Amino acid sequence: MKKLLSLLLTVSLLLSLCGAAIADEDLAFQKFDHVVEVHIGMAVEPTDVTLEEGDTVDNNYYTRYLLDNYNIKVVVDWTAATGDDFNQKVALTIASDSLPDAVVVSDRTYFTAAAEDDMLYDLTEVFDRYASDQVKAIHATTNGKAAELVSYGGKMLALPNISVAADGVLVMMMQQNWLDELGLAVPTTVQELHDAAVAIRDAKPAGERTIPILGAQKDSRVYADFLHSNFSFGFDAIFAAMNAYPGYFVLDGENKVQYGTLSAETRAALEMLAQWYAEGLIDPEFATRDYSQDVVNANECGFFCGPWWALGYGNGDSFKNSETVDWQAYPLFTDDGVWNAKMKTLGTSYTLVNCNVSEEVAAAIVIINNVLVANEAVFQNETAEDIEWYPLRNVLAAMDECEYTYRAEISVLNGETEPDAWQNEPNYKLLAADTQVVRSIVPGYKQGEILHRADFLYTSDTESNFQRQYALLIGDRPYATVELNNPVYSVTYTTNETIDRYWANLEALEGSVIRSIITGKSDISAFDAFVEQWMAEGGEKILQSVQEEYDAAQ
Amino acid sequence: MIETQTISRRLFLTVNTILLVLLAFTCLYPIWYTFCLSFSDKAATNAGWVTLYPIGFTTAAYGEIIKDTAFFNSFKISLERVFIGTPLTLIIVIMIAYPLSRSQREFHGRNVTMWIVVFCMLFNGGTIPWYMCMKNYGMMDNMAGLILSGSLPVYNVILMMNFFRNFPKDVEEAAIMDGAGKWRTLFQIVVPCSKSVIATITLFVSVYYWNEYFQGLVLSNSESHYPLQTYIRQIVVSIPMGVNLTTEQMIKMNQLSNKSLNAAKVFITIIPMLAVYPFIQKYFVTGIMIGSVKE
Amino acid sequence: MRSKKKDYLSRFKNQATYYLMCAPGMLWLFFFSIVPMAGILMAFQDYKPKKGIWGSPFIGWENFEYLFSMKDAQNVILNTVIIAFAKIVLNMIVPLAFALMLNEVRRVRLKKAVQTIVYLPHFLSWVILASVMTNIFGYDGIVNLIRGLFGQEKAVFLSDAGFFRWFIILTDVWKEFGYNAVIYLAALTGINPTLYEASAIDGAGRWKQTVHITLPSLSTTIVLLTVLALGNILNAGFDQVFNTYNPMVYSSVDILDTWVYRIGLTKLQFSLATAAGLFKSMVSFVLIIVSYSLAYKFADYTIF
Repeated sequence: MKKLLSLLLTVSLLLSLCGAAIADEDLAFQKFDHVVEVHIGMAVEPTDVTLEEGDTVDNNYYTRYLLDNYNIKVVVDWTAATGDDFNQKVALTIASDSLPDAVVVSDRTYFTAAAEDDMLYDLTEVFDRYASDQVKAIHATTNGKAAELVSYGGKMLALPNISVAADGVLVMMMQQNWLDELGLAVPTTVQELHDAAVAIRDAKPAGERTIPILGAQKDSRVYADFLHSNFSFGFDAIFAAMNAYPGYFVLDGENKVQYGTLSAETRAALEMLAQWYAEGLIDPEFATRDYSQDVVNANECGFFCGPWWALGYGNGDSFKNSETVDWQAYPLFTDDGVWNAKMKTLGTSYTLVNCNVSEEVAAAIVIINNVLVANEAVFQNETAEDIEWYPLRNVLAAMDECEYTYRAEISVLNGETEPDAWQNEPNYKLLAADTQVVRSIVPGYKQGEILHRADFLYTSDTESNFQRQYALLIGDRPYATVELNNPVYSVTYTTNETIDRYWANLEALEGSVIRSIITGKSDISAFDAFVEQWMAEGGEKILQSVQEEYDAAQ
Repeated sequence: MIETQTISRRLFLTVNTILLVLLAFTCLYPIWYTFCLSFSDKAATNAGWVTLYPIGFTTAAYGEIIKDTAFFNSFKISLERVFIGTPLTLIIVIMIAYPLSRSQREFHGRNVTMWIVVFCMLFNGGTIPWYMCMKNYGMMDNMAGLILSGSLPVYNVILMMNFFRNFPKDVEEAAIMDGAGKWRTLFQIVVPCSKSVIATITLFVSVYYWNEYFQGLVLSNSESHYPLQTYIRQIVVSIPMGVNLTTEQMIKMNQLSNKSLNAAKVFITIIPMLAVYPFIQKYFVTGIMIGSVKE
Repeated sequence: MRSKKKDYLSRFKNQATYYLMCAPGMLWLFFFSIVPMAGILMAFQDYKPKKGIWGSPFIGWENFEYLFSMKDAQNVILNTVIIAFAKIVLNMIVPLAFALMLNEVRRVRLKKAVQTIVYLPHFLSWVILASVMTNIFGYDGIVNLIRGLFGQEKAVFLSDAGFFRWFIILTDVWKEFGYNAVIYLAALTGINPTLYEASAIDGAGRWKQTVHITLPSLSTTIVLLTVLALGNILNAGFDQVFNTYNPMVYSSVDILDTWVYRIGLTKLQFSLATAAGLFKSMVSFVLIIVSYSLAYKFADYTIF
């Protein structure tokens, strides 16, 4: 008995000594000396088929990789389909105080609800000790915004998600081949967009099914707001070109916080969109269609609004369905030639860690995050398994990753640099691979000329590279090459108690009024009633609370 | 006079028949439509061209389903739920309906029990406490949860109770005179004479178990435990844009819509209902009638 | 002569047997309905999951005050009542009309066939019907195709809040009319045929017979069913609405149950959702009692 005790003491002493001796970077990628179990909840795609035969959600390439190299065993307590089903599951686990060890939630509501109720692990120290330099460097590119996003009551209560800024810059996607066919120039202003849409409506290049401007589908937002961005088929580019920033809290000339949706500019833009809808320029099935993407894939629309990845990545089937289609991305300017764009927040998902886990498990969760960031590019070459199967997948990318890659690739294409020059940049995890393939994927590149679809090599073997390069070199071209004169930030990207209290109601109200005005179900006077109602039902208090936060921060 | 009357009568009958046939057609169309979608080419279906007959006839969707283990797994779970849940529920309903069909004089606890039952039909604590209870009982991811979670089907109890109330008293009394106890009276005399109401309730309960999806979702920790309707719902429901998905998730979604395949799954889901109800329907006219209206 | 004691014993035994028969059902209710009812307390609390139902602070009627001050909630309650009321009325009239029409058909096989077919939708789940229905009424659906044949423009039904309320009501009536007609068809067979023969001799036509014989004979059934339906005035059909609606039409078809679901499970306002649910239960409970006493008083009928 005594012997055993002394043995234990020695072992534990040794262990603690080892711990002290290990350098920080080793901690970030340490292999635990025993298996550490991490229980998680996970969103899955019900129709995904990329898992190998016999593999499961917690026994696959990624989980085995974590187990073999780090002794971290991932146990998936529950899964649900991405979207409502998953959110419902998260809500139930929060409501019953039974969060798994860790879960990545996609909406700030869940983070604040769990944080407010002291359910979350204080990651401040664990993150400081175990996060890799790379992860910390990417955090640093946000100038402290990442830390701010996940802090609640002065503690770090989640791992933040940092996605590229380009995700939030919504530009106009255009079917260039239609414009060429009809002899139209690329529209740069709202008026030109209108005229081009009229020409498309009349010429019907896709027959009766032609849709000049595609809009939001059923259940979807008409524009990005301060909590949600990074999606296609809103009208953000059009609003911004009319100096309207609906969904954002913006400052007026006197540093007073206003809600962008209520502005006179938004009103004017809505009136115009309603006019366009009536003229048959906007999808008649606006806001009721099941999948707007089907229309893009069938190449039956002229214009839609989306982020950089909406081309290539987003509409892969378009190119399968037509060999001649040439999708291009351009910004839309105001009549004075200014490019306004709403900028998104860092990211919108949060990795929540249950406050009851041991420090070891919390460390394992931070390490899982380190590993993903370090090896994501490697994984994609080694397994066909979709990256979505990676447990606790939390996107961390330097905010300028797309633009940086764009410039690197162009310099490689121009012959100014060789791919070798780009092989060692840890903050840009896919850069090495991208610069190596770009010459073979874009054989038709001519210096100084805009890329077209025909310049790309498109075969079934190159499809995934084609999609990525198309997205980078065409989808992100506006943001990488055109000066964004007026990036617009929301005063806040998070909710406070006042917003939490009234937002559910106000958001629903806003959505329905906006949609019914555009579709002509209500005329524009409904807007004025809406403004009043919005203010009366808590909006005024919200503005006041945001104002106070702003003033305090100044 | 008589002549004109027959003409108007005939006219009425013709119009009447046409209307009824049209009504019947509207009831069949959704199924026919699903059938057409499932046998149409994926492109035609996604484009929304199919309305009256299959376009680009193909059995590709069914070929894909055969490989879909998740679908058949859910199918199996639903079958099990129906085949275990229905008899169990039925026995419990019969057992509680019988004492409730007695008068307060015969069964002293009758009124109290009845009001508790009705109270439970109307009040509930909401989804969240219910979920917490199920979890504590260990009802997650298992058949017991799928069967018991719905609690006692009060409507069926009332139906059954009313049926028993109308059961001829003298038959029962004769049985008791012969020395049969309450249990024997119920199961050997009353139940065998209640075929119609039992068939009706069997149908109701099995339809409930077959069609239920919400509890299936809440009580399952993974898709491999979903009953069929929950499975169907997750594939037919469209995922909204602008709910904060990662870029990869958004891209993925855009590649996945396959309405032909979904329609084929829906069609297979309907088949068991189609096959069974026509045979039971002859009972439920009497079953419902006697159960609802006291004579 | 049986002794008093033996009589007492056998009566006791009878009672015990009855209780025993109730036991499984009551246990089922106890564990799966009554225990979760503790959650009703949440309606009077500022529910904090960490503290649980027994530890969260009570705040009295505040949730209810907030609930009834919300325009959204008022609108939702109004929607619920309108939709449920319309469903109750039409689910009465349409099946009755259908039963009368079917009753006129003399060809037995046609009658049987029609009857069997119209039951069909009753057995399909809203999960399935909702997806089929939205296609049928969609932009490329058959409804628009038929409109096209009559030279009308394609319409976008599903974003039209005014249309959608009727869509919800009528698809429900359509789904259930065949099944709801069962009771009338059964009642029709119970009418004494001599009544018709007598009136035929008096020279009454079919129409007159319907008005003077058939309808009065069904009147008790009709009144009774109406009274019984009263308790459903806040039950506008969660499954149907939840699977069919979209944000465009919240203004006209969002009902209490769907609203409670969204507020509770996607916006995490647990206490508010529970308060709304409790409100619904209370109203239903009062109405059930009213209909119980009405039925008892006027039809001498005990529902349960």
